[in-house]
Amino acid sequence: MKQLLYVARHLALVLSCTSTLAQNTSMQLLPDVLVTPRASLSQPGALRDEIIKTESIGAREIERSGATNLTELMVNRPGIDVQVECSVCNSRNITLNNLPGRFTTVMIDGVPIFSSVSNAYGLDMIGVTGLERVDISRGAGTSLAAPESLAGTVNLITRRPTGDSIGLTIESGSYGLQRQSLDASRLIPGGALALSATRQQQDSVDAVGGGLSQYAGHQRSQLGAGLFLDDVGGFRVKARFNHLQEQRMGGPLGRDYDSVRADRSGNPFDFSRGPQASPDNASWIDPSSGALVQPYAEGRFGLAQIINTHRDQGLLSAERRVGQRKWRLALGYAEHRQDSWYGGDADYFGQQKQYYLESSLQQVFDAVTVTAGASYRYEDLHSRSFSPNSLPLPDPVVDADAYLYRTPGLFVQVYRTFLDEQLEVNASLRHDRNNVYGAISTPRLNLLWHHSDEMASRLAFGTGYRLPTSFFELEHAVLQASAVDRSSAKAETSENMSYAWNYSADRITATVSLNHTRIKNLALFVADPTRDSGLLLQPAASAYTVNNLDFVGNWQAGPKDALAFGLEQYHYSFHATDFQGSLFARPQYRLMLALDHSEGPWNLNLKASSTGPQNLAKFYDYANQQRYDLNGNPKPDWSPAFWLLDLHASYDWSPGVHGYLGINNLLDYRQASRDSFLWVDPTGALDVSHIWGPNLGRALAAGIKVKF
Amino acid sequence: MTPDAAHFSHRVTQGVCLLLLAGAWGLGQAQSLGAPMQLELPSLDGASFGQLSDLPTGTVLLNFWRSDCLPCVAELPLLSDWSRRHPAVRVLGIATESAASARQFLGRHAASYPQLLAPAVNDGLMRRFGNRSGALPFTVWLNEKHQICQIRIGAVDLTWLDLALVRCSV
Repeated sequence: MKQLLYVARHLALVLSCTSTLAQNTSMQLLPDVLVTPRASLSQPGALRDEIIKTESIGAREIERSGATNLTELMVNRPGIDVQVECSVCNSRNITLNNLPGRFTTVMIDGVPIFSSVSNAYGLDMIGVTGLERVDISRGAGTSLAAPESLAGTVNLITRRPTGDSIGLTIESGSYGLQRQSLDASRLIPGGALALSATRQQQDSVDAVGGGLSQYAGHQRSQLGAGLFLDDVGGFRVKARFNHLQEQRMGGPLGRDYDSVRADRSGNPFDFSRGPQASPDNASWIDPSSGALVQPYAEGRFGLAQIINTHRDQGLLSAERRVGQRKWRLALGYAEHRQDSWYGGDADYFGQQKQYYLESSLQQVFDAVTVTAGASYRYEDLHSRSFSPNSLPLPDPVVDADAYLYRTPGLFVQVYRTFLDEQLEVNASLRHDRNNVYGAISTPRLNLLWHHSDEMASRLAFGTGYRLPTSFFELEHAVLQASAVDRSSAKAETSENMSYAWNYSADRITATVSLNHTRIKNLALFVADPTRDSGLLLQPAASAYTVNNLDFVGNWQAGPKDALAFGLEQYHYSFHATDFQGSLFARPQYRLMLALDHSEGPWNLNLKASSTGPQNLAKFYDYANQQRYDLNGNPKPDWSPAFWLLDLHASYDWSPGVHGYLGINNLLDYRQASRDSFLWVDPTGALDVSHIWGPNLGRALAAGIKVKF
Repeated sequence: MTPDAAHFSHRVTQGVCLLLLAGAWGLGQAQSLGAPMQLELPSLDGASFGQLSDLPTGTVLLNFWRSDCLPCVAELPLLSDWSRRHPAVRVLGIATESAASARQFLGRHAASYPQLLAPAVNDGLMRRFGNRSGALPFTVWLNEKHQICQIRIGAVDLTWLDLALVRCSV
């Protein structure tokens, strides 16, 4: 009741503000300006939208990046990166402002339908063909639709076809990369149809010759269909359906999944290969005794992760504009099924369903724009698992990590310009009521001051919350637990403050930004002292704070040459013991330089990036659990800084034929040549998650795209 | 919600309202459009930079567009035809997307006037020419002194072009 009164008071305040403003609004339009209802597209930086963009990657950049999926597109960008969380399964997440990847919300056309399970392996399956752009919003509460985005959102905007076309792409590259892609579009009366199909495969990679991969091989395919209708009862409709499928295996090499599953004895690996390796090929040093552990004898399957993923997703968004009023409807549906064989742990089958429903109305009152709406989010997870090494097979563990969240919410946003549009203000308040964690309110405020047409400052305050998800990927021990007590878990919350200064002239753009993010109640699994082998899901005892300063500049040096520069510096503040090594290490700084050159039909893009050292001892809590190499020596406290160089060149033979060549990691810098991804805990148990550098060496890819 | 979080969100909400109420008393200010405009962007073929000061005396029509903007695509034939019939007016297209995709599009839908390329991330360019929303298509008339005379956010039509020509040629 107290919460309700609290929220009602906030809503009343904001609504009364709105009402006052609507009555006092005055704005002088220039007499020679004419705005027609047929305008489209908006630019980043403006505060009118429900999702406030801080960066935008357009079709141009997507094309020249050579990326085949979302995670490849997001690697090494200022304030944005991809975190690999496991060397044998290559689970990857997108990090914003170097915050944990699970705090980034991925959306398609503003609909949030990715969650715990899909974030683990689903992001690699999101293709980048057929996109108009990707909008990134760094900071909590940058999206009115996704309060759980504690770090920010990545919103993929699909492209409405403007003509009939058939495109075919064939690509081949290092490590057995093969990719074929077909996309077709056709204009129909009152709209357009789009179809796409992609198939891709790549081998697993072992750089040290021990028979254990550092990069998981995969085979994935995607089928998609889009329907765009320009006028359905006044609504402009975008509908999209995708079926995605992937099989990946890490640990042992190759693609013979059945043979790996059957191989459960002996030692096929050589642990004496690579840097700081074990003195013995079949075992490693137990740091507590200094002696070799028992020889490994669990076969190829013992260190394998075989993950089969199926995903179906459907999205529909519809907008109707009548005069100064816009009505938006959005529907989302996703079903994600993951069947995973984790050698030595379990055969795990997880199934997640998500539904999203939103309706909002936007009304413009001169200089004031008010958006109000309601949303309903449904998300569940069910699972069953059993240990494949136990014979006879035990009863499966059912729903060890299950949850069900139903979250209806209301939101209101007020956008107002002042001083002849010199100042833009966007203020909003969301109120959600979750079936488990109750009522949660998340306000945000954005101010944009235009010092001049070229120069602007943006100040933002935002809050967000995320319902903790106890997915198996976050804690494998959840399956072996006798009981999991979630009663003390709390919603994870984030407070964000940021300031950005932006300069934008014809040939030069520059942005300096300062960000402060504090995440509280970060959910952790800890041993339950009251139950034998029980687990508690509980909030971290203290907050995790990340402060960062970044600078991004672009200079059109000549008519054919564009240069880009990015530098970001981070400061992490947290009590390592409160997080038990669950935070993935992130660097102290990152530096990026890029050159884009075009010469007739040629386009050349060169990108260099430097990643600073990472405080492994603090992030992985060496004070309480030192990590050791397989030779029994402690792992270094800090990772080294390193440079990566990527080159991408393309050639247009004709308007319909486009060829390209990409070389990623030209300097062939790999972590595996300097430090093993494997580590041993103080009791001699082996793990595979010591990651600070690239797991894939120099990689070439060449392809041709033909468009009819 | 923890007491700290509740306190923070309460403060932000209070700030929201105070700022909005304070801003409600702000008065709009008329903006002068009298200054001659400058522009320096690479040509679409990458051969040179195009500048307004390089153009001969006369009225100029700037059209900002993208190939995935339906109204932009729809108005292209009209602008091309109009440009052919009015050779005294310097029409410049400004593509706000990749050179490759703009070239590809123009390979199939020829424009009768030269094209410049604007970085898609440049917020200040269109704002300087009077488009504060960033919406496309966006068309600007400059008079003989290269002062902004007329702007239009959204697709153009023949009537507007002809009327604007009369007004901006005076």
